[in-house]
Amino acid sequence: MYKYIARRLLIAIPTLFAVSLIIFLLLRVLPGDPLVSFLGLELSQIQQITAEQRARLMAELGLDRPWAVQYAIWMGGVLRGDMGESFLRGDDIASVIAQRGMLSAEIGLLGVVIALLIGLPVGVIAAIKPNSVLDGISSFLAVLFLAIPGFWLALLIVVAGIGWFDYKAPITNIPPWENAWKNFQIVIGPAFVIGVGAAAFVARITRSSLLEVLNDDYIRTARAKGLKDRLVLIRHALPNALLPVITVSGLLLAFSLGGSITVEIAFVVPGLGKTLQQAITSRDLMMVQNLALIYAGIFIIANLLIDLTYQKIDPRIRINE
Amino acid sequence: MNSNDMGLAPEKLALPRQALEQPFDPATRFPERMSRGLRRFARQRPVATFWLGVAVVMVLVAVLAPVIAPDNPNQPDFLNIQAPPSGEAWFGTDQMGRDTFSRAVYGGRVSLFIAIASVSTGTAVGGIFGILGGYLGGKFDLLTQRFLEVLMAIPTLVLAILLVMGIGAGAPAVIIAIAITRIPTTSRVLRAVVLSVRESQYVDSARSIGASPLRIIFIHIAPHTFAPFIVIFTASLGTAILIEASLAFLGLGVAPPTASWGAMLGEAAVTLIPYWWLVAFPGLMIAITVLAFNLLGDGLRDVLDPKTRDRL
Repeated sequence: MYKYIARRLLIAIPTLFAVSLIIFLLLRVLPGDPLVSFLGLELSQIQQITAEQRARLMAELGLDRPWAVQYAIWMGGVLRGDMGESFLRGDDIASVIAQRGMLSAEIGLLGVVIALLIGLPVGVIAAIKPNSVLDGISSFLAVLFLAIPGFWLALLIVVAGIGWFDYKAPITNIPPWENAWKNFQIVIGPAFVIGVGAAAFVARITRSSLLEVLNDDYIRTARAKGLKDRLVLIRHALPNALLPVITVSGLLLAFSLGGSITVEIAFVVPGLGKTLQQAITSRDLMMVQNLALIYAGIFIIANLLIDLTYQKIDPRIRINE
Repeated sequence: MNSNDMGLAPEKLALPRQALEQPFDPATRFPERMSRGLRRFARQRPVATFWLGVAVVMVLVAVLAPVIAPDNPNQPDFLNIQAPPSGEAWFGTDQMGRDTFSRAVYGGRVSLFIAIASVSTGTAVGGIFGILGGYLGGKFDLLTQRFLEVLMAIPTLVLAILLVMGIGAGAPAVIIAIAITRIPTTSRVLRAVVLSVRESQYVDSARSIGASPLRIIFIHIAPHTFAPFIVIFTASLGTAILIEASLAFLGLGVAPPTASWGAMLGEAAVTLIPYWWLVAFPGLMIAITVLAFNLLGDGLRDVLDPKTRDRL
């Protein structure tokens, strides 16, 4: 058990570093002028800067140093919880992310909860009565939600809210402890869109996994000894059927993380998605670099946790070790 | 609940029957074989065939955009801004008075071209990595697999964003970025196929009569990867359209004023209170096209390659 945890950690940590290196390098190959975002000037104005001024500015931003040194400084800072300063206004990036990440984290977690609350029951019902009307509807919705861009659904909800109910969610950054109701109005929209999209996926996995388990011999045995269908399902079938659902929740997370960026923007939530978009348009290297690292880091750590949970509850994995 | 409900899922029993129905005759001309295959597909998978039709229509609309679009998609008309849909402008007009229908038609050109170009490149490169890695094994396999695992550790959209920023904006950057995000999946699936074929007896026999490694790869192993490749290719088209739309929505797509479906949604979202027709129609085009490619991919998978059902 400890050996397994150690081995997984031994894979996850180098992966995280490799990812940070890829992020760093991709953004250095960038042909654009980083001073554009720093000074907030047009390109024609940038060209009027003298070589001397340019050299001084680049030195101030730390961009004149070799890549290896820049990377070392960045990583050293990240490990101490210091992510450097934004090019745009010189904000401290760690505090910007802490401040705006709250809403995004709430949206992500609430989204996963909604996905499981809808996806699991629908998947179970579809598996108990395969090829029924309900099964047909749920598989149709699953296919549909895989094809619909989340941010489009989000925009439609915003438009419908305004057009039919003259309602628009607040677009300020309010933490739940200040005004829980306002905070809820901000996060529920994006969480719902992410949740239903992922629920379609959860329902499909649950269905196919439960159908497979229900075919197993031990289920026939349980039924043969006269156990009620409900008990067969709850006590014997579900625990085994839910294992694959846990494995794929990593994919689910990737889906939610990527989708949340555009969905948040569509709902005009002042979260990390909006921050990333602003950083992209203003070519704020430092901000993009750190945000990408955070998205990838959450993804890697969550996958690590999923793997560990999985091997904890499924003894077969340990035997294979 | 009777035992029938719990019985064997019927789809599990579906075997690729077509091989038995018609013995392969190399003398049959290719077009004839194609049309025979298509008719068989239509009979076995009517739903997928319908969506094949939809996909073909979408591609035709994109190709014939200059004929179909009633207006110049980039021509502003400031006397007619933000007009709701009417007989004159079917999908309404946008903030600059441009005809949304024409923009949606031309936008399809951009979105589909980027999707097809990026998926062709990405799945081809990924396929080569997968086949070589699976066949050669050893260091090459280990290195490529580790590298692809690192790429997969970055959420797809974030990776695409970084790539576009790194390569520089515009259609080529978007195509390369989406292509790279397609490499890991393709290579993994094809690698698994090659691994399972590599050890089979007939490959051993080929080796024992002195076939060169290249001959073994191309003549004996690669054909097995054809069916899963077609399935991945089709399904990836849908994903590529969604990634392109997200990138364009974020402002990382083709440069304005050129329309793409995602860029049109991005433009609509700039105003705090978007007009419904500017949101509804481009998104509908995305949804229909992606749905068509996904369901066509599902149908092809069931017919060509039932084994990969759970692998994707």
